Amino acid sequence: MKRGQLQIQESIFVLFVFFIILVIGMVVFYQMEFRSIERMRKENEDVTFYYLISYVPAMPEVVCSEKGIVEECIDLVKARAFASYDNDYYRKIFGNRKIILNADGEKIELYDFEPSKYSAERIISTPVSVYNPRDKSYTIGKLEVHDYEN
Amino acid sequence: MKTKGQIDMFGLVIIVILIVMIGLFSLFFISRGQIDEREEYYSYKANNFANALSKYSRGNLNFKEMVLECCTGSRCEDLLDFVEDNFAYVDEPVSFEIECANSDYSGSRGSCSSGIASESIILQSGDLIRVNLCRK
Repeated sequence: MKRGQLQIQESIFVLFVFFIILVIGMVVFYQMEFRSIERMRKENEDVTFYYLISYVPAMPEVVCSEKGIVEECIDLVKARAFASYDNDYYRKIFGNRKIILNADGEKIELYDFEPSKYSAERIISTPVSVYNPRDKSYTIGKLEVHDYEN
Repeated sequence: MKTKGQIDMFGLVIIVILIVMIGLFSLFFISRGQIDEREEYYSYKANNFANALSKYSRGNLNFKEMVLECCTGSRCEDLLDFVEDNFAYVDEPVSFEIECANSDYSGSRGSCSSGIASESIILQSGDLIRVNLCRK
């Protein structure tokens, strides 16, 4: 009887250790999975952020076009008009960011959704060709995208 | 005894399988490479700058005419000075290169000798311009 009890206790102990190891394994796996998802989310946000610098100058709302032919530049008059639009519609595209076009000494805020509180700010910029249809001139401007992290 | 030994063996096998699984998962997640979207960003920036320069035309200043004057005459310093004045639109170290089609002249200005190059823009005159952008 005593021997039988010992064997049962041994089996229970083995099973107990097995489940402890299984639980530890699952916890470790979950932690790694969570960190991986978090890293993917951050990478995706970074890609979206850097992608904006090529997306904005090509937007139909600001790109140079004449009789349907698109040119690689930003139309200054269109940009000024776009800056006066309501931000809410573009919030789903741009998120918590600010997009500024500096051209000819003029600072045009194309989009502004700067949060009241943020932990960090990143800025990327690119030179762009800016066309003024009034005097048909092409100058160089600077497009800035500000990203705010919570 | 035989039964006990089998149970012990079974337990050991389970432990080894678990450790191997945990090890494989860690290896999988650790060895994942990181995509550097900044490479594309710098390339796009260099192309943009070269494009913006080539299109510049305001009042008496026309970039294409300046390139033509440089390659057919000798006013290359004016061209290079003009380009250098516009380096302020780029935050990173940048350099500009020009290669004339019909003469042996090739000039450059800037502090980035090797970096991410823009596409070479060949103007109507056949002359070539290019921009190099160095990472910050």
